[in-house]
Amino acid sequence: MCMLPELIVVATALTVLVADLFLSERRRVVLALLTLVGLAAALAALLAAPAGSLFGGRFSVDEVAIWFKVVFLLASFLTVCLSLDQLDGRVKVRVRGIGLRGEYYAVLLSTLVGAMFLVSARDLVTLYVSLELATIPLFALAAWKRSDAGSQEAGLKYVVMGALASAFLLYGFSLLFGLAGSTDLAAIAAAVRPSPALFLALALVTTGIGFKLTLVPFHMWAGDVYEGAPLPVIAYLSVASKAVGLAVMFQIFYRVLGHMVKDLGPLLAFLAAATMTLGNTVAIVQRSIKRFMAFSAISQAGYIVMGFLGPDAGGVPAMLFYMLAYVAANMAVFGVIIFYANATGRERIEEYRGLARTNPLLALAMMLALFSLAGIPPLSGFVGKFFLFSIASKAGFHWLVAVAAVNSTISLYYYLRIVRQMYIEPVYPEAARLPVTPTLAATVAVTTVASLVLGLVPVFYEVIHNQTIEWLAKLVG
Amino acid sequence: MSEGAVETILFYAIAAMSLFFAIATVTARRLLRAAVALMFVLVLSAGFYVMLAAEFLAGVQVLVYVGGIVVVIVFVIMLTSSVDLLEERPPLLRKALGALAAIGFFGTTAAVYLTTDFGAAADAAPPAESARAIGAALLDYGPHGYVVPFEVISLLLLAALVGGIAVARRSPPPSQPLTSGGDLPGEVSFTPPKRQNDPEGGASHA
Repeated sequence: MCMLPELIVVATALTVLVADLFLSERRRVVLALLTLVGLAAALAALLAAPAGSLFGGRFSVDEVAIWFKVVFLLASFLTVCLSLDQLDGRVKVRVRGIGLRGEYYAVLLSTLVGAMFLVSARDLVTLYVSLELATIPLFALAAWKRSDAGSQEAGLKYVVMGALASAFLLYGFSLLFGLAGSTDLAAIAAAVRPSPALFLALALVTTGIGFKLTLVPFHMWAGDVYEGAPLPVIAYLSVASKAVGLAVMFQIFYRVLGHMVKDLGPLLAFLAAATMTLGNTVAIVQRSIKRFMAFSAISQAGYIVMGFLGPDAGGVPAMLFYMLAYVAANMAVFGVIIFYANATGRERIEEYRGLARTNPLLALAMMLALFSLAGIPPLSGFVGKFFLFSIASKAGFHWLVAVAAVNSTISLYYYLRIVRQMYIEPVYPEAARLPVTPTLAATVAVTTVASLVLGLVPVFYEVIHNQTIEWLAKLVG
Repeated sequence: MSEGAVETILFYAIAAMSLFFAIATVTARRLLRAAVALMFVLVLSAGFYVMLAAEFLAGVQVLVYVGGIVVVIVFVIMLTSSVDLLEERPPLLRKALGALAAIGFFGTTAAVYLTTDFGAAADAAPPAESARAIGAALLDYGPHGYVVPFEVISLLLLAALVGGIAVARRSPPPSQPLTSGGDLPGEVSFTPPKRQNDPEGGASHA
C-alpha cells in the first residue's frame, strides 16, 4: 500500500478541518497536536512501506520519491512546530489577523499532499494538477494575516506571478504532449528527439519551474512575498516549496529528458551562476531579516541546481542530501527568527543586537545554522556544498565552481552580519532574558543538532547515496 | 463548395474574430469592455473546440469560462463600482517593450510550429470525444486512467475554497482578547460597529 502516507495526510487534513468545528476556542490547541501526530504517522508509514506502484503505474513510489517525501514531511512537521505558538497566541507580540487554526493546518496539509503526489506522478496531468495543489493553497497562506496590508499584497503578488508561471508550464507541457502524443512521462521520454519545439517546451517548463525554485530571472516575486507573508509560511515556502520545484525538475529533466540532460549543462550552469550571484549580492544590502532570508534562499537554489550538471548519476544523492541539510539549517534559522519576533516583534537585522547576551543558546543555534547555510566545515551545509561543487567540477564546469566558491565567501560575509549583531553589538539597555516556549526550543535544538550531525556522521549521506545512485541509470537504461 | 472549404473559411473567420477580440481585451481602457471582449474570445475558443470535434470540451468552455469566470469578473467590476474606472495610459516605453516581447514570443513560437513535425500527436489515437468516454477515463484506475489527477483536483478545490474563505473572512475586532486569533466562537455573533452607509449592516451573519 504505497499510497498510505498520502492518505494519512489527507485524512489528517480533513480531521483537523472537521474537529475545528466542534472544538471550543480553548480546546483548539489540540489541532496542532493532531496535525503533528498525523504527520508523524505519515512519516512512519512512508518509511515502513516498500516502494511500489498503483493504478497500473500511474502512481509510483521509488527511492528518490521516498527521499523527497521525507523532505516534504519533515519540512511540514517543522513548519507546524514553528506555527503553533503564533496561532495559539502564546506570544508577547501578537501578529495581527493571524488565526483560524483549523483552516490553517488543513490548508498547509493540502499543499503537502500535492507535493507528495507530485513526486509519485507518472503522467503530465497528475504532475500538473499536483503542482497546482502544492502551490495554490500557499497563495492563501501567504495572505493569512488578515487586516495586514503587507500580507494581502504578498498573497496577491504570489497569485499573479504564480498564475503566470503556471501558464508557462502548462504551455510547455502541451508542447511535450504534442511532440509525444502521450501524457505518460516514460512514453514522452521515448518519443522526444532534440528539435526546436522540444527546446521551446523546455524553455517554457524551465520558466514554470524556475518560479517555484526561485531561479534568476524568475525570482522577482520572492522578496515581496517573503516580506509580507506570515513567518512560519515563509519558512515553509523557503524549504518545502523549493523542494517541490526541485522535484518537478527531477521529473522533467531526469525522467523525461534523462538521456539528454548532459547536453543541457551550459544552460543549467548559467541559471545556477546567475541565481547564486544575484541572490548573494542582493542579500548583502537587505535590512529586513525576511527579505534577507528570501535572497539567501534564492542563492541556495543556485547551488542546488549545480547537481544536474553531473556526467553520471552522482548529482541525485548530492541534491537530495543538500536539500535535507538545507531543511535542517533553514528551519533552525527560522526557529530563532520566529522566537525573536514572537518575543519582541523585531524583524530587522540590526535589531538582533545583543541576542547572545540575553539568550546565548539560541544565538549559538542561529550562528551554527547560518554557518551551515554558508558552508563552513564541519557543518552539513559544507558537506552538501562539497558534493555539489565536486559534481560540477567533474562535469568540467570549473568556472562555475569558481563562481560558486566566490559566492560562498560573499554569503559568509552577510551571514556574519547577523552573527556580529548578536555577539558584538551592544545589547539593548533594558534587555532581559527572553522567554522561549518549549516547542520552539525543541525545534531549534533538534534542527541545529541535525545540521551538525548530518555533516559529521557520514552514514546519512551513505544511505541516500546507496539508495539513489542507481535511480538515474534505471531511467535512462 | 466542398465541406473542407467551408470548414477552412469558418476556421479563418473564427480565428480573425478571436484575434480582434483578444486585442480588444488588452487595449480596452474600460474594464467592463475588456471583460465583454474577453467573453467573446472565450466563446470563439469554444468554436474551435467544436471544429475539432470536441463538443464536450466546447460545452465546458462555455459553462465554466463564459458562464462562470466572466460573470464573476463582471460582478466584481459592478460591485466595486469601477465601471467608470479608466486604466491609466501606459508610458510609451512600456508599450514598446510589451509589444517587443509579444512579437518576439509570437515569432519564436510561429517559427517553431512551422519547422516541427507533430507527427506523433497526429498519429496517436484520437482523444475520447464523448462525455461518456471522458467520464470513464477520469474514473478508470488502469494504466490509461486519470483517477489520480481527478481525486487530486477534488482536494485542490477543497483547499482553495477553505483558503479563500479564510482569507476573505472579516478580521477580528480590536476589542477581542489577544489570544483569540480571530477564531473565537464569539466572533460569529459579533456585529460590526454601526456606521452610516454601511451596506452590509449585520446581514452577513444571517
